[in-house]
Amino acid sequence: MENSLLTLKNVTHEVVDNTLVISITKGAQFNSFIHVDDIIESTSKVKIICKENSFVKLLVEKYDAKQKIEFVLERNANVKLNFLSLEHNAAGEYTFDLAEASELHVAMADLSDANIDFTSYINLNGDNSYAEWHLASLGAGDNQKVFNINFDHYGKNTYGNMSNYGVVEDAAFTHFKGISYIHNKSVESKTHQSAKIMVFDEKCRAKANPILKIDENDIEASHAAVVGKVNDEHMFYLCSRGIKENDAKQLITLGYLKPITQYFEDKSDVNRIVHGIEKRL
Amino acid sequence: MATLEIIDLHASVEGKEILKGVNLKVSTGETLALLGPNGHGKSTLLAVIMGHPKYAVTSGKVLLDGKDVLSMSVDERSRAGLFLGMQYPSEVPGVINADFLKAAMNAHLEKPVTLFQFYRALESNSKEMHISLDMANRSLNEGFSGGEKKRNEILQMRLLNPTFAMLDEIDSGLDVDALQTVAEAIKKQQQVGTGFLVISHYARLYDLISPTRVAVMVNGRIAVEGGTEIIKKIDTTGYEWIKTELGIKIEKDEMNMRYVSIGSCATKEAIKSGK
Repeated sequence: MENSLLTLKNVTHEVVDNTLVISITKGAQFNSFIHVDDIIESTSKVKIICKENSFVKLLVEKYDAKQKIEFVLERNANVKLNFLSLEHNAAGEYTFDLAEASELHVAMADLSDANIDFTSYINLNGDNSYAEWHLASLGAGDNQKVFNINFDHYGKNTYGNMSNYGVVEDAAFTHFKGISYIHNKSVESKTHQSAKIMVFDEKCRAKANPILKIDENDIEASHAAVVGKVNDEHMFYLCSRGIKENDAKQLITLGYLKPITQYFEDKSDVNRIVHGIEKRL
Repeated sequence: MATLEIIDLHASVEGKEILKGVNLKVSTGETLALLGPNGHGKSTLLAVIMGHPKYAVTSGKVLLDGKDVLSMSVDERSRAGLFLGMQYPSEVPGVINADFLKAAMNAHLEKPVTLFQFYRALESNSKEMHISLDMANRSLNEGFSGGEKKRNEILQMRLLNPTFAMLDEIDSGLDVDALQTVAEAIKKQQQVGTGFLVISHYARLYDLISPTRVAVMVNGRIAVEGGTEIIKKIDTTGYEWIKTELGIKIEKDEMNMRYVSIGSCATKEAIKSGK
């Protein structure tokens, strides 16, 4: 974890037009997640190019500047990008360009007591490219959190999946939005959106409105949006076993957010996420 | 010896009265079989005793050893010694079965169980219920078969060791072997003195767990109480004798069948009549 992305031997970097351009060489293999906070803090524009057949794992923790980050995934590149946001405000814009057969896996655990305005554009340009996006977000106090996650399918047989889970308490506001767009000629592509938010208090607000746009016939698409209170039947079931109302709520909330931990490999990160959820409930 | 006493209990759902003055008393060591036609309040009675939020108690009392149950919250009722084995246990996505069981056990204890104690209890009870241990790592009841859900209910009863256990059609969805397993677990629980209130439509379960008394619920009240001969009678002849012998008319559900002539649209007719 001490490694900086810039000092790795498979990585080169230069500054071009005020943009820090980082290249991860062909076929490079990352065995563990590399923290990229140092580079992201140092400049407002970053371009990360993951060359052919590279296998990259990156962890972003302090994304608290107004950043524009661009990822280029060349043919067959495989990128795992994890966000672990425990405290910081964030207003980021991430763009991903995926070439043929490249894969992007994003998991974001947001347990910050902060406002968030996060946007991402995932462009599935190459045939057979694949992207999935998982988010678990907890908003409380007067947090305002907006997540705008977009997929654009251009290549053939591309796959996009967004799955967002949110919990809102107190007077917080959480908004899941985004457009998944299957463009003309992106045949046999599949796109799925699911946005679920659980609201706990009278004053908190939540909105989930993912949008599908489809310009091609031979495709598969689904979307689901749910905003609701804790299910009364679930509460009754847990309480009927002697579990106190608050503990039952905590168990249900944990069950809502905890599945995000499966995407984090480092055990200490998993513990920090679980601890972060428990601390804020 | 503890007693669970229900006195002139009235309860309604969405303004419709379901329980119309139930009187019933069960003591520890007893197993009361609760029978009656569908829709006459058996499940409602158990749900009201446990405190389901859907039902409003309009009058009456439920006393556990003289303590007022109706003023307790649902979790307090459980900790006071009541248990409800549900007909349709909820599926709670994301909540891991083991976490749930541990939280439930801890809620009943002054000092939380150690991980070792918990796994030992879970292991022996899972074995008794023929539940594979890896079910504990799955989401609570999610994707469980009907039989697995019911066995999981009984597993919880064994772990929580209640003073009174109310079982609502715990035998539905069980095959012959699973029924045997469930009945064995109930018998073990009977031996430690737990009082039972058991709803079932079938003599099969009752034959295995030997009730000490029988009550029949009709029209939201207990119509008759007696010995196990009533079970046999109902199993062979149904509920007609309630009317002929006791003079109690069995009320039918208000959802009367609508007569619609062929060629017309039933939905349109229903909208027109406003019902």
